[in-house]
Amino acid sequence: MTEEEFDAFYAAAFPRLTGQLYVFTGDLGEAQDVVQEAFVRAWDRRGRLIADEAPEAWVRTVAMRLAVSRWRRAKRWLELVRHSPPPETTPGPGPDRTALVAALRQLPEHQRMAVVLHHLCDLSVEQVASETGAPVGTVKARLSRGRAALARHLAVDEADEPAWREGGRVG
Amino acid sequence: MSDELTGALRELAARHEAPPRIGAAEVRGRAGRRSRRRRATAALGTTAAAVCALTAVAFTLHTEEPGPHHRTPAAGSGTPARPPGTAAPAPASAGVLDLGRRTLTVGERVIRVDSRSFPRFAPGSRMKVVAKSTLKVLPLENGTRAGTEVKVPYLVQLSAPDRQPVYAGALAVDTKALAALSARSGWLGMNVADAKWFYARARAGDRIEITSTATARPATPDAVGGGGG
Repeated sequence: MTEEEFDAFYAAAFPRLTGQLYVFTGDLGEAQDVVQEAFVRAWDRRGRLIADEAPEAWVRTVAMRLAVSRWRRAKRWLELVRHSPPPETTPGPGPDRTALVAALRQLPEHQRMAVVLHHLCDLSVEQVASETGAPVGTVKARLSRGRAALARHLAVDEADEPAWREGGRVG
Repeated sequence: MSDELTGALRELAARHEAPPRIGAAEVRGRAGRRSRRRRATAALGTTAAAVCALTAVAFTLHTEEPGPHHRTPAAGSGTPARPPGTAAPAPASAGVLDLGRRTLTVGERVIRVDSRSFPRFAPGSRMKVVAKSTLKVLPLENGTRAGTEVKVPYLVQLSAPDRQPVYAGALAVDTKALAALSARSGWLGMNVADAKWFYARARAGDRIEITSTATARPATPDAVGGGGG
């Protein structure tokens, strides 16, 4: 991949990947950070990116793993500060409080990653299994539980402010 | 529900697409700098490992002669000489306390010391340096002026064979009070110049061998003052 090709790829894919990582992390600044870091690593292995023929998927996977690593570090730090573990279903902070984002944040990271990769990034169950290193059956279970949990959380939130209705709108 | 969820997620993602905060050139530059740092660190690690290996070999072989800074007890100090080529059973001593001559020999320097504690020390045993302090306030608990304190400059704290502390330092102040201490107190007095030199020389962990070339007898305060060169 030449410099010109990389620059074009960066300009085209960065906004799209940032949006996807925002859904995954619930924090726009965090999403930009991890996507940018993933692109830095991508340039370092640009020779292999061409061979993979899916550079955007590679960058997205790296960015998601970076986000997960950051969450875990933040959790450990919080544990040290609080001297008690934080709740398992409350990942990093973020300014946006939309109902869907809030519901996504309550999902365990494996379920959230499966939901985002399958429903947002259009990866098949087999591809999600390949990217996450989990068996296909496990991915299916995570998707099922993730969808059920989202529906449950959003049903509770609808009493206050409808967030995700029949038409698929986000409030 | 899946289609609704997909639509909602896509709409959410689309609304939060954001342009890059830095240009592609800067991304490539960061990657390049990081790659150079990795290579430099790897090269440095290889070099350091090689140096460590060479150093270990050098120390194992003992190919060089003892230098001028090599710490050996002075001749005539009463330390039994070790046959050449014999493996050392314990770490080399940094100095020798001669109870009979009332001297502390460190390197080539022979220091006159005063103490009423000599009866506590058994020839053949050793003390170890455990701490240092440029100025320390010690309580006088066993003397005639119990409850008072004395400031001792250039103090080196040693651990006696019975694990009780022994203080080596300058007899700069309150000499009479120190002289009044009982034989149970661990105290090695020396003049200020010698104390300053010993303070600078001593390192935590240094061992002081205790020997006696004559019958140890209680010292008097007048014995202090003649520092060796």
